[in-house]
Amino acid sequence: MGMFKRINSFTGASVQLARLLASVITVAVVVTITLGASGQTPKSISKKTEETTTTATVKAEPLSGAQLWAMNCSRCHMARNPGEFTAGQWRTIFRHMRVRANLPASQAKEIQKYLEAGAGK
Amino acid sequence: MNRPILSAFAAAAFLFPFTLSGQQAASSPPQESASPSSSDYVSRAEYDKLKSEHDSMKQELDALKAAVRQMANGTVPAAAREARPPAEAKEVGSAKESQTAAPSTASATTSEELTGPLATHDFSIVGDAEVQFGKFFHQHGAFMLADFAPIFLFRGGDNILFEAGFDFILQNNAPASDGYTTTVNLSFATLDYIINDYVMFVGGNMLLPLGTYSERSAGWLNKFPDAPLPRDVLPGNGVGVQLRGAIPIGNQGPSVTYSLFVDNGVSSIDGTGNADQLDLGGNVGLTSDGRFANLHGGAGWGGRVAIFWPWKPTYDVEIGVSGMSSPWDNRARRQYSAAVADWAIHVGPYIEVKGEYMNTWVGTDDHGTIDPDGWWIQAGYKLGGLKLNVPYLDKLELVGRYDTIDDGLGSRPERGTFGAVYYLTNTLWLEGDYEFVNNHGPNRLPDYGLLFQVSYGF
Repeated sequence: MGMFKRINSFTGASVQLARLLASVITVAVVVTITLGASGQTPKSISKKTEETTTTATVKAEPLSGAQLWAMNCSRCHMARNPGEFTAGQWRTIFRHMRVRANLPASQAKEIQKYLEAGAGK
Repeated sequence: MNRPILSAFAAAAFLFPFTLSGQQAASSPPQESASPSSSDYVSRAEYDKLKSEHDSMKQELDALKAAVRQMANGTVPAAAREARPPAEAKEVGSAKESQTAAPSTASATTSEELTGPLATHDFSIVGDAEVQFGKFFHQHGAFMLADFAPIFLFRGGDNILFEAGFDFILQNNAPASDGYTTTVNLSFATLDYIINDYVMFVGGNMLLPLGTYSERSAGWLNKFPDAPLPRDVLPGNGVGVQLRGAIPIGNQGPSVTYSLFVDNGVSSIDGTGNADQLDLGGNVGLTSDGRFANLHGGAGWGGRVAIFWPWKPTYDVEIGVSGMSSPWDNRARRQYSAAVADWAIHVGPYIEVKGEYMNTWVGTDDHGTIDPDGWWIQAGYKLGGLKLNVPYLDKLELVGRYDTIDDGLGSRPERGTFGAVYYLTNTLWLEGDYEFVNNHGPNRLPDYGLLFQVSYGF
């Protein structure tokens, strides 16, 4: 009985610790999201600065297939290297992944090109 | 005064022949009868031979390009045409290796590489497999699960797809019966049609887009051997149709995604609206004994909207809201509704945090409206981020999760989980976790447990 009481008290404390960690992580995530968002859209101090920012955004080069692959595939799983499947297999697998992951068509096409270019034999 | 000038002229006259011969040596092609000291140079014969080989290879490459273009315009499928540049590059490489190969042979090789047997190109099997060992409070330790979950993918064309996921699971038979049972479940089976860049149709037995867990729960995707507790208040599948798609925001990666579905909805085990009879497994049509009992005529509907905002590769935030509503008792008088908020964040390749909050409202005959709810949050940190360059530590990820569920009938367990994932490869993992539960209410979970799992994605 004594041992179970100890286990129960340990379990209760552990759950409290987990709850505390969950709260800390939540706060950290909110802060990170805020910082990430502020990094994405800098504050416009003056009209001139705003124009400069807008011009810079418009001129940004579209991302490559490799960059989009790194961005999207590792969201849900360890990214599979292009060489793990043949070009034909990628054609089937990645079209399904486009549906499953709800990827924009333009991004999906670039990723597919990247995967097929580096596909295994 | 003129003496130095005269000396300079004399020196120039003496050196002129040597200077001239040096210039000739530098500008003229190497002579065939070169002296032993000039053997480092390429002879005229060698130069001509190399030039001839170069011209020959150039012609061969042009012929290959023409052959590829001809095939692309004729019998080669559209998707293969997209892959033409890398295929050409490979052919150039092979042509360099075998300069004497006949163009016709090279063309045949190219054709085979580009098209291949259609059956193997259009049909693929992916999936995952798990073996699990568990030891729970007041129970013997045992190998609890062996699961093989193949997903059959078929591509009927550029826009028509079919996929079906199965679960072959080994289970010990119930107490007082011998042996074991192998069960086969159809996890999902859908026909997908890509209508255009922004709309995709999905029909069949679908994974429902309530939060993200049901669509991302395979053994080698989930970093824990078991599911978060509050997923029990939501249906994972539904039979029906769905429209989904994504709209990119700019060209730097962000997008808005949506999913809208109509399905048969949830149902009741015995047909009544009593709270303990809610069957989230679905209202799929005929019952196994061929009758139409245990069904209602209503439909379930719902959807999800989310924003995915990466600011550079592996740094991103995803936030989504989703929900559904459906009658559930046989007389379709009681309603089941759910609302879910989900989010995930990646801070580089080493840190991942994600979670969901869900609330449901269930109208019942015996308890009025109850609201089962819950939430979970999990975090993972890959030790590779410490840059210690220690072979085994670099492949280790520490994970933690907190989850809780309130069943709306008085039970509210809270659970904490700590563990680690060891990546043998990017798709073969070893997972080990210690779980501890703080029980509240009559339905108790084991106070603690140890779980180990081998997960493989293929």
